[in-house]
Amino acid sequence: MKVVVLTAVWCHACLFMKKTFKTFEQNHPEWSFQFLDVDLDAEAECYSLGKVLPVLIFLKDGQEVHRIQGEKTLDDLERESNHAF
Amino acid sequence: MRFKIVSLLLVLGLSVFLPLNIQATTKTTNLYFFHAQGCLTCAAESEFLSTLLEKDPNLKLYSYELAFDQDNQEFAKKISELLPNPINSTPTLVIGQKVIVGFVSGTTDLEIQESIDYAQNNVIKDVIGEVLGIAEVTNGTSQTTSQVNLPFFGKVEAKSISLPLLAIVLGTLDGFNPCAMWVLLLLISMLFHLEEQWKKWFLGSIFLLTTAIMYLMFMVSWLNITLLFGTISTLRWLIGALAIGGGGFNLYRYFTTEPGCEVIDDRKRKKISVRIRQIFSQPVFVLASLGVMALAISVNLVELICSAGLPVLFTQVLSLNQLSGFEYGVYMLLYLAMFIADDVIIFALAMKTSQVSGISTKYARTAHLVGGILMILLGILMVIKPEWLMLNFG
Repeated sequence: MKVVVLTAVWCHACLFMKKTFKTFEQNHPEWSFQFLDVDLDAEAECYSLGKVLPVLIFLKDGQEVHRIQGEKTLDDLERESNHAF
Repeated sequence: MRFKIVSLLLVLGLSVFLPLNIQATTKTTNLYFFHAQGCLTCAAESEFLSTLLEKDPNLKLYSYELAFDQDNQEFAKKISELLPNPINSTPTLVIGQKVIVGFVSGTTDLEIQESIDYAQNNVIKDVIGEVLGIAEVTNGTSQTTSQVNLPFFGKVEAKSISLPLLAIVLGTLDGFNPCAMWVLLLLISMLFHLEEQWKKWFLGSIFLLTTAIMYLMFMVSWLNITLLFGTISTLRWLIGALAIGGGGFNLYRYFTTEPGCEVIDDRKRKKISVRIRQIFSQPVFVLASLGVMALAISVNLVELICSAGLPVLFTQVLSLNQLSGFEYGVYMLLYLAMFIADDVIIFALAMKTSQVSGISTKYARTAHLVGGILMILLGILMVIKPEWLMLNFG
């Protein structure tokens, strides 16, 4: 499973969630994480942003299988990802 | 015999009340009205005073035209020294020691009536009457304003607590509205590429200072509009309706938007990013500083509409309270300090730690909820009970 995390330097919620993303990544060594800035990384253009940032896109064999959007706590991220998989 | 005793008691009983009744019905209350020819607010107050004089024969009006009459100007200057507030604008009405500046239909008329009632039911010091020789020299009492009893502080004027409190609450709520915060964060992230520390501090501070000045100018302009057209009730109703509408929109946003950063329009975001890069690529530092100022002005002009409701509401409440120029300035600066505080903290922390910290959107959401409720309440009061916003709860 690959998790793409879309953030931006101008997004205060993304900045606020920096530590949460780090812990979430450490809690899931079985998944590969890719952090992309929507303005600085050209690859980010491959994904649709939706209405709010940050966005976590869960990909299985290159296909989007789940998406978590907006500011969340670590518990929220764990609960939502556990529920999806 | 019994009839004589009853009659005597009746006469004695009546005599207790008689002098009071005589005093209450024959006491003349002098009103001193300072106005200017061509002043529309003065005309509105003059019309109101005429209706009062028709209703109450115990009122006597002394009018002083100040725009063209030099003697009256001298007189106003002389008695200003004896009054708690100087007469430096028209219309001004003086009742005893109470100085009522300006006239807003629906608010000032109530204040005038309240002051007349107070003057008629109490022995007041008629300062101007004493100078003119038409009133007896007395110690008298001056009309008190609403007071609240606070632990440790004792009796404090309600106005002196509530207006600063309102400035702090509304300014803080307005500050958490993250309309222009994304530009600050973008700017900070690019400031990190500069080598010299002082340049980072300087350019960031210029951005914040320009933002603050822009906001202050907007508030001052709006205050002047409300002071100038304050007599028009329609304007008050319009602002009340705007506050109710804005409050409803805030509540709508609270319930419908997800916590997180709203994705800003791609073109707008890229345009600002390019502008910031151009600013930092300036070889001359002065030009870079001017560029940051221009950026702050343009961004805040566009984003002003996003949070215009709260400052408009606050300046309207200030104008209803008819304060001195100094007091208006102090309250607006207090509002501004609270408004800009979160941006200053984010910037200072980023500069100190070389890392940008974000603020949870939960605060912004809470600000939408609390701000929305407060705006609706203040909007309703502005339309149906404006005197409550002047802290006259009678």
